Amino acid sequence: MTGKFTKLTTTILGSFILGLSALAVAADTYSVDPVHSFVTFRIVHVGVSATHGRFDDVSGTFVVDDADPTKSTVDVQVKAESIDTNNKKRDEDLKGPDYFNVKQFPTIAFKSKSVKPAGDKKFEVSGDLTLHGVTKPLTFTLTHIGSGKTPFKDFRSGYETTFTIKRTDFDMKKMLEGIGDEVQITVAIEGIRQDAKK
Amino acid sequence: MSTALQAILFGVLLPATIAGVFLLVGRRAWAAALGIGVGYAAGHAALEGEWPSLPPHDVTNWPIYFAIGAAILAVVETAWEYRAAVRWLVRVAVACGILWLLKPHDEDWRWLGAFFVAMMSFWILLALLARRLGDATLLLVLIVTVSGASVLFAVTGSVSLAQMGGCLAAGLGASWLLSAIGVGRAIVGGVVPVVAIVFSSIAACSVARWSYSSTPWWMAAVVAASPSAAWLVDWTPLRSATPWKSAVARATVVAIVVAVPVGLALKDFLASPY
Repeated sequence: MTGKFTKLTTTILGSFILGLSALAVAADTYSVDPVHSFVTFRIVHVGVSATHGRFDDVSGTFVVDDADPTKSTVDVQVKAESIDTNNKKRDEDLKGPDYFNVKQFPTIAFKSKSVKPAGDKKFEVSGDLTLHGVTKPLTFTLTHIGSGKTPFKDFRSGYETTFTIKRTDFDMKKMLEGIGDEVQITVAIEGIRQDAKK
Repeated sequence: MSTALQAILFGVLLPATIAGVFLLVGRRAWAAALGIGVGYAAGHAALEGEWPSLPPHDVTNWPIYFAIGAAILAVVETAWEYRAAVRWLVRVAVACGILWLLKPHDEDWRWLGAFFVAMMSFWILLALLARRLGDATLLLVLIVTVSGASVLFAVTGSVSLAQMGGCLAAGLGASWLLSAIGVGRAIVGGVVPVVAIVFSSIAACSVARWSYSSTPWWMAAVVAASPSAAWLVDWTPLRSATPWKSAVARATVVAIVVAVPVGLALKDFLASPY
């Protein structure tokens, strides 16, 4: 009787631990691959055209919970100094006190507060965007591009979103006549899974 | 309101009017100091569109508070005759405080020391010139230097810093005009601390290391040192010319010195427009 009881207890405990493990691995942590991640922007120039630029230094992590997407998180940082608009002089001006003031505010960051499913391969992500030292709430729709094992012998997952902010909301108020207030931002990130499931 | 109209109204007319009213009412060094300091602060804040918080969100808005502090310091210095050693000790403490508030968090001590030496050198230079030159001459020299710096900041990448220089130059301009027609006497004693503090803080913000404005440090240094060129006139026959001719000659020599970095920066600016 005692032996049977011990066996049953062991089985239940074992199942419980296995179940917990399965829950634990349901959430995967990815580190942003800076080589295959892009933060680009578009802003209207003197009302006649669109100027495009990008930030070359993107980092961060995101957690994907397939079982419960609401437990997923996004935490991305961009070095403001890495701005690149294909013109050295303009880049220097953008880094200066009239715009990003990168010496004082070196990092642009987004940290999610909630993630909700929003249709096929889509998620509504809400969180705080910090830009030029000002933090504002931001909500955008994130699209899952795909996931899988890659030729690099790791597991990767990619997402993309486009949203629009007003730069004046972030205390960047200079030259509004020549350079538009609304900035369209596209973020495309590729993450490398960090756990042992390779 | 367009940026150009804002620059004229808030960056020139407002500080000039305030400086002029203070000097018309007070007619002494303390009035010139308060007028230029308060005028600068009002103009800078108006260009920003709001009075900045304390501490300011952007370090480049510190000069608003520095201008008011400098005006108060100048009033104290002109109201009480205390020992020169104490006066300079206070100035050293003020310079240290300003640089500490402006410096980036990752700045190293060597650069901080270099900025301190530059700021104190500029202050000493202005104090020496104030003892040698009359009101109208020194004010004219300072207008040339500050206006030149403003142009330099504009062509090396910062409209904000250029407008700040414009605010200071406008207050100096109004004081010079009134001084030239005999309103106010011996006012440079009040002007020097305000210009030394406000100009130094704007110049510190202009250098790439501190705010990523792309003004080369040596260009800012040449413009800051340019008032010393006013002495060159002492080696020419113009030394004994009428005060007006002497003032114009000194300002012209200073303008030639200022024109070198401004001209090079302008050439670079025109070569790579965007």
